[in-house]
Amino acid sequence: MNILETKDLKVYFHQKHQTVKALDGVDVFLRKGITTALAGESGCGKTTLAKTILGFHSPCSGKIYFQKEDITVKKNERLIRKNIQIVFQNPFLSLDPRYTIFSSLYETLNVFKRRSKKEAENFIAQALEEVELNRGVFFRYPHQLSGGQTQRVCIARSLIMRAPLIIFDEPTSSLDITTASKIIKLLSRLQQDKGITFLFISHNLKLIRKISQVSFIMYHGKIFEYGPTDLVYNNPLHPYTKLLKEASFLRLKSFQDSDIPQYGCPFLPRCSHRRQDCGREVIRNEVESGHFVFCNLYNKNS
Amino acid sequence: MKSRLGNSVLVVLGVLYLLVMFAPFFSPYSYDQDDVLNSYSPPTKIHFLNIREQQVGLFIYGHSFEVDDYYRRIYSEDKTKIYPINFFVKGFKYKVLGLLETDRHLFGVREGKVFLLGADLKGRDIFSRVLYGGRISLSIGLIGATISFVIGLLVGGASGYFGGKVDNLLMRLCEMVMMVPSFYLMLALRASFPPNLSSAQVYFLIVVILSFIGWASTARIIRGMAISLRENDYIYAAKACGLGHFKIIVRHILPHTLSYAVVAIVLSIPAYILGEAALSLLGLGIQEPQASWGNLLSGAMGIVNIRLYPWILTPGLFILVTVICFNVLGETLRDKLDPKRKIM
Repeated sequence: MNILETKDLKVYFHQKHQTVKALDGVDVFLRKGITTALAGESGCGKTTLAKTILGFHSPCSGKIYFQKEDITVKKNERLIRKNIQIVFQNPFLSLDPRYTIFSSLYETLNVFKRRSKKEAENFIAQALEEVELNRGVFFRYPHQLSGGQTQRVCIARSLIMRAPLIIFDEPTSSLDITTASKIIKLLSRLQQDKGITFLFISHNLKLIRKISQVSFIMYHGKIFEYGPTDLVYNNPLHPYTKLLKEASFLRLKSFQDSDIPQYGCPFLPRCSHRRQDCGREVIRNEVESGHFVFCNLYNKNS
Repeated sequence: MKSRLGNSVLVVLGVLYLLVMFAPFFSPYSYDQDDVLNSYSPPTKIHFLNIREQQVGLFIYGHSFEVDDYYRRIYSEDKTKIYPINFFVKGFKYKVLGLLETDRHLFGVREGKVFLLGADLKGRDIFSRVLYGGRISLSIGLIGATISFVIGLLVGGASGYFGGKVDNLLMRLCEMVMMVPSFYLMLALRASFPPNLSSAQVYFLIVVILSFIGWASTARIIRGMAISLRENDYIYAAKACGLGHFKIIVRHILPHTLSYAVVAIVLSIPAYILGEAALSLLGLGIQEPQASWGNLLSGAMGIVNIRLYPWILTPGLFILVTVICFNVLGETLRDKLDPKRKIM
């Protein structure tokens, strides 16, 4: 069952001389109780998608359904706040440096239901315990903690509301490898224990393989490929996914925005397998069961 | 060096505020006690020693005046009359900070009159009136600056945080306030209220008028800071948690502008003191017999008066010292709180 679904989601930013198509017809779905990954390079619209789901950007067209309820309409904002939480990339920027860990978490806890400090103390201690922190950090400020600890606090903050869906926007990118792997282990454990749905945004395919069951590969505001993570990782179909897996961007050609065709595949200027019909409409091809790719190389008709 | 200067102005301001807080105790006469016989009496000389009369200790001589050809009073000391200055003497009744009733004063004379800074047209003691007037002039700065900063912070915070239409509307409003030269705006606002108000009402009115003029520039700067602050992830995180807009502005945006705000509040206080002085000088502010530093100066408007009785300018000296002190204090605070001068 899908807990969240987007239908042909388009988010355009109108700037002075041009329109940036941050999301250009994105269809993703999140299965309940598993981790779905969203991968792609910087600037491809991953964070925009996360912020649009949270209602920080309003889409030009398209719908987002949370449990069959359209959350792009204003009146459902409360539904988003109660059910979807987010953890950002840089933990030091996502906690207000002026407040202690306790008051940050207490503030979050108090949004929908007022609790006394005494009552909240147990809640917060419990949430911190879940992310393997103890009461010692209660009255510390974010800058007094390490990056890993601060990120754990951010995770605790997203857990404390008991939201069924949590978005992780590159939660380990600003951490070193050891700390990052601990956080990844923590996330896998939390997911198994609690059955929360995770949307895990990353640019690292290896990381995605470890944590997620379903993957979406995104490029330039469009989904290129999606399917079970095992299939996507072991048998990447789209030329872009192959490059992403090898992380060999050295082979990528440089290009200008004006080279990108208006309707066809946005990867065209950088693709080494380009064909005549790539400048025209790209259709979805199911190559294996449940493994889809948006690339004309896999067109059965041609 | 800078910090020592800052400390010394803090001491000066502290002394000034103490003096005006306990104005009745430090002043020998009430602010409205007039004495036609002492009109424009010059500052009384205080003596310590008189060998002929074998008098030791602080004392003053009695004085008398003659009228010259231009009907001007020439005051002279009468060395035969000696009035010792006493400390903690009984005088007019008053309440300490509006609570304790007493009639003790720091100093005074049993007979004769002691005018430390001379007397005005009606023979009222200028020293006492400066202390009483300071209550109004010094408090108006603090209250006015605080009120206008609360408005400025909220408007600027909301404007920067929401952006878009709200920002546009609020900033155009700010510009409308800033567009009119503040002195004319002040006069126009004062003119739109009836002239015969009680002194408490006038005091309140001046505070409101001055804060109304002052908030716009603050709001613009706070807006700029809020625009950069609202892109922080912790603002998004707070939004994602469902925290209300007002709470986000008050708890997560405005506290980060505080170091700027404190400096700007202190630096803006002189404008309020001067604004009140200007209104009162023109007779639109605090009315006689109530004293304020502004309306004390209104007695010194004629050039002839200044030449003949220069001591009536002393309230101006108090304004000068206070304004300088607040400016130095503001500069020192800015160096302390914002060493990189990011903002101003």
